[in-house]
Amino acid sequence: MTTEFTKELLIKALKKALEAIEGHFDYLNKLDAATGDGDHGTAVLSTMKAAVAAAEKPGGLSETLSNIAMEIMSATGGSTSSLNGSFYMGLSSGAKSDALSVADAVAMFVEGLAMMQSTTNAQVGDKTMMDAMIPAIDAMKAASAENADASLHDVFQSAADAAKAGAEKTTEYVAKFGRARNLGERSKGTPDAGATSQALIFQAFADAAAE
Amino acid sequence: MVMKKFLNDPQRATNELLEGYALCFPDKVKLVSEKIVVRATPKAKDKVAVITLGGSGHEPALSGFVGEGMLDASVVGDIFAAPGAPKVLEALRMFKDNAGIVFLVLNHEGDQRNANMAMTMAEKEGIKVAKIVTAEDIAPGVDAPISERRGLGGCIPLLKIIGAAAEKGFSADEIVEIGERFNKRMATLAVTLKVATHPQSGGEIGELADDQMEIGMGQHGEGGGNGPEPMQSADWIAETMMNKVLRAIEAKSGEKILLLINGSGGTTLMEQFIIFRKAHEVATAAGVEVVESYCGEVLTVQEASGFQMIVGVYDDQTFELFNAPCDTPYWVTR
Repeated sequence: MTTEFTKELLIKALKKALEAIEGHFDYLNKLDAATGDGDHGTAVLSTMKAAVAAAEKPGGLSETLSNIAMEIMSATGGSTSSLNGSFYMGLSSGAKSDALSVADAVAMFVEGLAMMQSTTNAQVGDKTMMDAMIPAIDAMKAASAENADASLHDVFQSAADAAKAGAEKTTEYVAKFGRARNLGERSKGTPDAGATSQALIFQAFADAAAE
Repeated sequence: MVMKKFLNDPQRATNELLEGYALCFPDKVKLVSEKIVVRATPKAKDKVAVITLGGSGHEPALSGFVGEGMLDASVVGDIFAAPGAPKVLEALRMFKDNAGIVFLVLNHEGDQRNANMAMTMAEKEGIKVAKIVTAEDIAPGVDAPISERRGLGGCIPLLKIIGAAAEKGFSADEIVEIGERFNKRMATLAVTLKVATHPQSGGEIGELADDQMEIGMGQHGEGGGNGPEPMQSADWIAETMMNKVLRAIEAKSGEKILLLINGSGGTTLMEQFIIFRKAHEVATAAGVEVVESYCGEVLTVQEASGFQMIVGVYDDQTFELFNAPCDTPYWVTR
């Protein structure tokens, strides 16, 4: 069981996330085709590939997270890469050392979400990736606040469970952002692809922290 | 259905159009770092630089207005998509030694997000950037929150004014103040008769039946206003739209305005003049004086049929700046 959030854990988690996205590639494209361009699987796959490549380069944790952000945002200009890029930018400024305690790791993820929210107005219920992100970070905060002995695995598993539940709820939502908003009521019935992929990524972090 | 457009590899359409554009106007612009269009002869460093960003597929916007008296640089994204923040940061760095940077950003989610990210990164490097946002679309209603209102073709006359202010040596803060003053009294309303085909996916951008039009449809096929309605005469459309626009900008009798009809790509100049005729008549009847006017394409959406009606109220300073000399590939004032 990993006790501190380090660059090593980050690399392990990102590799697991990349595997999970590869495994769900067609599914994510299919979800997106129901309401958007049908390219979310493609976009998130190139995002995670860029993240893994950047993570393996030399540098401390904060610098590595900043490199990941830049590489993700250079990959494409779409919302998947720019939102994920802003998240990693926030993680980078939140990483106070190269080995973070559970409380410091949670604080870092809170900062990641804050940076994301400075670039989008999407809230829970708008059928975007924020439907997974916001409850996931809230669950991390709650898990570490309620139990002083919570492990990294505990907090990431709470995040993953909350992200999954949040993504499933998007099936009932009407899209308010992106091209999907043109569909109005017709956007109901399919979960949001971006929220679904974020839930997969949080589960990868939980799995990496369990090892 | 086979897409009938002059293309090679659709994924390289943006690169190829920018290469062609730079070759076409070598004395005015050049292409650097694949997706950044800059002036062939840079402006003096003691003046403020004016830059913008946006997706391609809207030619001549926005890169067509790079040149003396308007833009210093345009950072181009892929078709209808914002450029990534690192590319925007690269452009901001090019002007870090200028007297300042004014960054014009149209209100679209991706444009705003990448602009904000790039500005955050630039600030960390000590590069100060003043942002001005256009969100002059009145389709969702004049009282709609800014998140609902898009930046349409009204950015072009605004660029003309702030570009001239930069050329005259105003500071970044002064340029933003002048721009915001024009912004407040400027509005655009769009109408679409036939949607465009996305040059990469081949899909239609938006949905519209053959006998319908949609007033308020945005430049990416986004719905707006009241949805599709039956087709009407040119005079009916021009009068309905002009009345809405004049109300939105609260044009008062005796005020001087710009009236610009911007074709969306698939609407003839013949039709634009027919629309202009009625719009001018409505303005005159309201006691408003049309002192500057234009019909033509400044911001297109591929082959979409329709137009954007752009109206702005001048004060003495914005009128003078609008008429200051400029020399860009798609806007020249002597």
